[in-house]
Amino acid sequence: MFLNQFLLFAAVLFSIGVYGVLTRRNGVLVLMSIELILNAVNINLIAFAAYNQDLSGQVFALFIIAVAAAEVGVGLAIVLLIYRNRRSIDITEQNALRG
Amino acid sequence: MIDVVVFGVSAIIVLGGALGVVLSKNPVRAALSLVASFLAVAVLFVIQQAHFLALVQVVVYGGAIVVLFLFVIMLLGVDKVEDLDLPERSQVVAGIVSGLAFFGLICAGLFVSGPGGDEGNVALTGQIGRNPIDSTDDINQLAADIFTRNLVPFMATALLLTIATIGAVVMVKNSEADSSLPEAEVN
Amino acid sequence: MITFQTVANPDAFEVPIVEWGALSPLLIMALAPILLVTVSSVVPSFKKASLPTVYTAGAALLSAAVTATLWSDNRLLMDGALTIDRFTLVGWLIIAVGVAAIAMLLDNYIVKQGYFEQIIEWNVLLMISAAGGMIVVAAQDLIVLFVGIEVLSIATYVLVGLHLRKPIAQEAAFKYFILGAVSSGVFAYGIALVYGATGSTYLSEIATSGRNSLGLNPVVDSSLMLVGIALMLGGFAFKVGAAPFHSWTPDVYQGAPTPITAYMASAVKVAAALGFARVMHDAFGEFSVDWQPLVSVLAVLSLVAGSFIGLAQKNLKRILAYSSINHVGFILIAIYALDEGVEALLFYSASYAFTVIGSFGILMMMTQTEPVLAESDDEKMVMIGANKIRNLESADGMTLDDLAGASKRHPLLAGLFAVLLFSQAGVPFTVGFWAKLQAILAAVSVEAYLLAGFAILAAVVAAVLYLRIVVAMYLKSDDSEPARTNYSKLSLIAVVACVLLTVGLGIYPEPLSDLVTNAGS
Repeated sequence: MFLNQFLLFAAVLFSIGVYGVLTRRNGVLVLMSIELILNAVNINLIAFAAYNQDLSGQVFALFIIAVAAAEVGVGLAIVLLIYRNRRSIDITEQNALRG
Repeated sequence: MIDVVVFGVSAIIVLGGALGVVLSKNPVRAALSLVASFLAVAVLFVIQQAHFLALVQVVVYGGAIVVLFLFVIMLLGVDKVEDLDLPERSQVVAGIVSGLAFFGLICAGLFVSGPGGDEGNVALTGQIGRNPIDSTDDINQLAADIFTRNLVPFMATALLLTIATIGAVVMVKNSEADSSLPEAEVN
Repeated sequence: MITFQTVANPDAFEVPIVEWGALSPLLIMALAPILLVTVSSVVPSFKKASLPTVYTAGAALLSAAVTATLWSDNRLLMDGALTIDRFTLVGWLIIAVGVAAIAMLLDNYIVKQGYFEQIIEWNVLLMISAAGGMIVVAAQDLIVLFVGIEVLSIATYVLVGLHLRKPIAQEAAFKYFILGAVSSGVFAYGIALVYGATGSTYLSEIATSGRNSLGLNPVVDSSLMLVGIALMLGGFAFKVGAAPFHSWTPDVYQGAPTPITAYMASAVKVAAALGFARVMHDAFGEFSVDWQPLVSVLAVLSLVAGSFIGLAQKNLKRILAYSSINHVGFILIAIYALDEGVEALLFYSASYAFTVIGSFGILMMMTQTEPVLAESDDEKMVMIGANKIRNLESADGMTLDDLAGASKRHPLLAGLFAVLLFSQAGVPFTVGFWAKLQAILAAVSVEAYLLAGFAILAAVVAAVLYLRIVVAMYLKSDDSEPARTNYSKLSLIAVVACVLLTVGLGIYPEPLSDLVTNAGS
């Protein structure tokens, strides 16, 4: 297997994630798109770890999974709070702050 | 050869799942596409010898995180009222432009040899060895690495999880004041 | 089979030596909140009056004092994951003192806003976040840096949204969260590419990687590495709020609770900027030809956006947000200047941090009037508990026009505010003057004359920004009577300390410049 097939694949996944973050209006789905971005990072790290035969990449991927879990917890709490206050999680309605 | 086939099939599932997440109208469907995507990523980890990470990927992502997503979707009841229309045109344009911009930037890193020539860019020439898979060792080695070289981030992760716990509890805890808050006052 | 070479014999690995003494400022900041949350849940009477605030401020000041005792240390800790040197210690000092001041401002805010129930959580999150910032400043390993940044920012996302009854606070939190999470993803992607190109996540190993026997370095110019650096730069630019990645700053600063805005503008920004500088110097120092142009573009855009767009703003919190973007421009100039700019970077960060804490603190104290019963459906009125209605802090919506007569309503606060604004503008005899001067001299010393020119131009335009606020306070006076003050002593102490530092170091800057000298080595 070539290294670049994984890297290219991760780049595609990353771009899909970025597209999702910008286009989804449902707050929960925006969080899911962010998970796609972090998965793309992990694929990169694992591929480089296997190529370099070095464990740091795998360790970093493990930490990224932990970070993602914490991020989802906090993110969903914010979404719930917004829903409680506004009865909607459409992020395009979140536009009180403008200057 | 088998590796290439496994890679191809999983890659298609990952990308299909990812497209499901960003395109599907129903949030529950999106969450289930996310599971498919995560599980196929776990397969990709296996063919690169990262067995423990594949396990973590399935348990943490496919298990805990997606269940959390589904739970919140059900809690909010947005599975029934699919009131969120399709994205606005400006959002789609912004999404496509930024997605392509990032893709182009990363591809430039992967396929352009750069001023230093091919020699330095592992992405151009790198090959991952195709060897019989042996899983006896990688948990031991990961553990050894985490408790020696990476002790600091390990401890910092403890702080991170403390924050996530306290933060989620304090934000969502239903205090008396909030429940007495009439909707009209807030807006 | 692939064998990983990290540990020769996994059965007999040695845990790194933990040097408790050198790590103690960080440990105090990380463990004090754990102790606080434990004790207060077991002993409910601990949640009394200002006790949690005094505890937080005390722990932070203790951390700062211990930092000061380590002054001459210069070594690697924990198997090279962290480093203690003058750079780290100055960063720790700024963060710890900043946390103490912000805890004192929070005390006032939390009680006045009716959040006394959650006073423990506010303080705990503040301290853990600061511990993350201290990790960022000391990190020698990109993994440590990444996890530290996440601790720093995830706690801040929560703090921004912790005003549970104010929908714009949650909107700000969500905006900050989404953009922050994406920028973390971009940053992590950059780290992954750099790791791929060099095979290491340690800053020192990245700096020396890829050298072949002739001392040549093919990795230096590999496009993989360059794209990795660019992505990391983008992530950092977001975290410090540099243009063109600044668009979240005014919105989030406006929506966040004002003491938390002060925290984001000071400690968070300084931690991210110092971490940024460390990575750029230690890991990518050899690549400076590649990233310096990008940093200079970011600096110029931040200077211009901060001063010119700021002029078009009416809302005070947004004006101060743009002024912080302008300050980031100066910080980036110091980073651009590499070794020549280290002292300027630390000097600017330190003086900027307490000036901005004081400014937001005064803004909060000015707008906190006595609770009044609501008579109209004014959006500033919100219900608390059973039908009890009081006037919430209105700093979020405060505009320049609202400041008219402030010099009569709050003579003391207006005076202090004016001093801090003069410092931000860089008027002589305030610390801001020396900070700006050092940043510009750093640019001149590396022959970046264009950058220095932009800095001077932006400083002049930004001065108008601050003068407008002073003019609004003093010249557009109406017949206001002195208002009843409604802030706690602790907040006043914090703000007065900031002002005294501003003036004192403005007249006699040697102590601070002595602190930051030799930081580059």
